[in-house]
Amino acid sequence: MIYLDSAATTLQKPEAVRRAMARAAGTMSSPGRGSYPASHLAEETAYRCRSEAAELFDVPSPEQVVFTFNATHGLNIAIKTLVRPGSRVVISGYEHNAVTRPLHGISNVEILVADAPLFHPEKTLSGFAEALALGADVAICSHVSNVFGCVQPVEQIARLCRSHGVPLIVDASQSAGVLPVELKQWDAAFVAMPGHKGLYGPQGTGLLLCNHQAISLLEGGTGSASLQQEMPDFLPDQLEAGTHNMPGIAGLLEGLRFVRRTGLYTIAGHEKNMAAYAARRLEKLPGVNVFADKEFQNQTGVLSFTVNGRDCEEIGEALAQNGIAVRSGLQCAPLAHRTAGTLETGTVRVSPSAFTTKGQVDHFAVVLERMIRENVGF
Amino acid sequence: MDDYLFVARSITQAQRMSRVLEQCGIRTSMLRAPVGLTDRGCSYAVRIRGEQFDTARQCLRTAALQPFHIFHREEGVYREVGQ
Repeated sequence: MIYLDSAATTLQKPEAVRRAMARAAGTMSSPGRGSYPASHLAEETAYRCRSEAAELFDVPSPEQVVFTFNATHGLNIAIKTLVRPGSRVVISGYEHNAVTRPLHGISNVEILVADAPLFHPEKTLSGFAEALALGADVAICSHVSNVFGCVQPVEQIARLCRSHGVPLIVDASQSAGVLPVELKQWDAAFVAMPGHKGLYGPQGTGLLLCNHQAISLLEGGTGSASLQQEMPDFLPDQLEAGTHNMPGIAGLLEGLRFVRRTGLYTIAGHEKNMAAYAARRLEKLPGVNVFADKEFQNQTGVLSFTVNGRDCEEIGEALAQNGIAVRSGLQCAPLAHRTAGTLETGTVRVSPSAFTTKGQVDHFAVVLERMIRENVGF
Repeated sequence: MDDYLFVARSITQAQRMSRVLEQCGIRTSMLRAPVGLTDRGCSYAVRIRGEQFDTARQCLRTAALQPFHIFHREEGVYREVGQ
């Protein structure tokens, strides 16, 4: 199989990730729960994972790195901490349902969408500036669109938020592992990210970087302050009720090490090259509409396309039957499609990883070309 | 022989204190704090030898790390000391 759905989950992981998970399953119990070696090993692994993440993401202390189940979990904590019924919230036009659904679930939230055409970060920025000037309680921005790979000017948005005294939540689901993510530099309230995408960890892992007091979505045992019935008021315990996913955390640690060892720019450059190469191939095909920035300037290695007269889900099905994995439809981001004008059609999304080869992209392009030219597979 | 316990608010803070102290050249061991020493239930602590207390306290202050409690143990008896 040629796997081009890394924006959903990176399927191919560094070998060390699998080894660490297997080792953890057989040797680690729960951190902070005992005086015996299996608990100590879990404690040490969890701490190393927090420390590795803190160094990679400019977090002042490992205690501010909270383990979550995924980015959605982290975003829920962040949103439900900061957004109250009746709050006014500024969001970008490229947010995922992981942001819009929690907002929808809070009564009377007024959402101001700072929408902008694809690959126009300056317009996104002016959209945020205008919305923040109206007065806002919270701002939320995805660093990179999961549909189109367009990079949002988060650093400048963060500066704007600081000047207005508005807390910022950043969804780094598509940027963690490929772009600099800097909690302290941005002074964001929260940054949420999954472990299973660009950090090459397993599914069921995520990180919430905290620069703000938070509320717990879950209450329960933490191995600390057990006599009191309120959740601890300190991080990370406050947000980590229940037994940790130690195989996941051990795997995530190795994923983080892989990213740091390989380098953000190396990984990003490779993925961008693969996506840009795919774009060049696809642009030559009749009836194919490719959503790519000029020279991929404001775009990561995530590429969407449509084919005139073809349903994107049918294209995804046909590619799957030819051993190629892509993501079709609305990619859980209807707002992004509405902003880009593709809500009616959806798109086919291609997203390579650090392990994708040019030969694989070639094969994908050849198969798609044959499908279109010969009208097969539909 | 005496020693000191720096009681942390969490396992993660105890780990951080331990690493900071080790970087200051102070040998540490981590342990679950004796139940009788805390009024909040399960806690973790970092143990150091008595003669290194002043250096350790300064080291933690420099790193802006504040233990939840500090206890001095001598002849098996714990006594809380000020921060």
